[in-house]
Amino acid sequence: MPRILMLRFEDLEDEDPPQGLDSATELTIRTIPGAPRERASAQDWSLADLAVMAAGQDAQEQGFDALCLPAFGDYGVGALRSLLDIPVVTGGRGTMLHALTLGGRFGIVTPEQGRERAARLVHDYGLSAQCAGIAPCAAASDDTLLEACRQVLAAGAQAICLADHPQPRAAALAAQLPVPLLTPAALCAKWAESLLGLGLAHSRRAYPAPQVRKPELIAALIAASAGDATA
Amino acid sequence: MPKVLVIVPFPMDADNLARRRAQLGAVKLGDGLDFEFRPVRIAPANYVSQQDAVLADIGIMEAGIAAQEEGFDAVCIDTVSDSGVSQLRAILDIPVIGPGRHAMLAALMLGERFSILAMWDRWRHLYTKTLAELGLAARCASLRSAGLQPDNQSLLAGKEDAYFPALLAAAQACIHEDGADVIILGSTTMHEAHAYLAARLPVPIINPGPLTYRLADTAIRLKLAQSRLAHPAPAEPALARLRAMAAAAGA
Repeated sequence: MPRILMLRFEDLEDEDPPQGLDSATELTIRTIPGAPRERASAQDWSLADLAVMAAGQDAQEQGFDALCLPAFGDYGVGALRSLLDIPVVTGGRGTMLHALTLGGRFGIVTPEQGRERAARLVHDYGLSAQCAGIAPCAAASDDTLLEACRQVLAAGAQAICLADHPQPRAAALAAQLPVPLLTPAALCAKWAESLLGLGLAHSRRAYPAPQVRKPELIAALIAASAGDATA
Repeated sequence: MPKVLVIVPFPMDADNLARRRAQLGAVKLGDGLDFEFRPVRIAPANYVSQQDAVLADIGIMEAGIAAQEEGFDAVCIDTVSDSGVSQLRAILDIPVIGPGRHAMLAALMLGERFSILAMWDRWRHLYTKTLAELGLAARCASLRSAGLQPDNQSLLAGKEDAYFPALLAAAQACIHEDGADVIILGSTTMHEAHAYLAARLPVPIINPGPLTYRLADTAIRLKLAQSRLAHPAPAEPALARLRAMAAAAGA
């Protein structure tokens, strides 16, 4: 039975569990302790990297077969891939690449605070030419989500990545769009199943292991920040 | 139970079709998917020229054009050339999955640069086409071949002792000389070498046929098919014309 751990930020906790998994799959969803609530600046991103690393660093020892990080910002992904041999599946890169299996160009609809992070990831992954646009959207109403989707469609998107929004809203939204709408949590879980089914994990050449692991230090850093009201 | 049509790009007998179907044994699949492997009726002798590419597109299109009406829920194409994929994506609303494009994108989920390991250099054009379409040529560390004559019917049977070490040597050069983080088998006809190579290489090696079976499952479960904006539909599917062509090819 494949055991998959999914780590989520507290502010995205209201998402329903991903649908469509194999009946044999056991999915465990946990909140990431000590993560910053805002993730709009480089400071926040580093704090998020650390929190995600701390939350996932023991996943393999705990008996999980794969780890899913559905946040679109891909926080802590590289660090956890360096620490773990099990597949670490990413919400940002994974969703963008999957979008390119369905169309030639994708658009991203993201909460306002995720816009800069998404733009940087698109650049860093070498996907600027394939990204039609990034539309920020206040999470307040379905109308604003639809309007943001229309923006990226007008810019030439042939598939849309819906970053960091709840799944139920995605289902209603998808029915109103002429292109596929991709939600990271659902895709992450299916990719984890697929990589396990195929016996694949990330490349050690791209993600070399550290010479000296620091699990106690990482855990202590997060424990020390857990009571910080600004975190 | 959802049904997946796997289109095999050459006409072949039952024994050789079973060698294609054996790819299902290389992947753990989810619940209740039924796979039907169907050889085309129109095909080139092999895939080494532009003539072959046109004939391959026509043959695969003919084999899959009615897949939706036949009750299939997804179509996988059993060639890394992705021949016929664009055509069937235009015609069908069900997901159509080609191993070439999907393997390259999957490789970038596992590492920064990938190499494509081919049997021979005459397949090079197949990969450069897909890399250009994706705009990801910079992420390809190398296209390397082992200089071996492929056989699209009996695959690698009886040639393991000579071919497997040659493929391994070429794959190692991809990693150590070209900087590949991930290797992609350059043809679904190479699947019989996958387990041998995976056990001996220090990086992930993608078996493109089995990858498409998992992605068909993902597409069906998540209700995700190709974008209609990227693949506009024809005014009318050319079913009768293609059926007539197939009849002519078998004459």
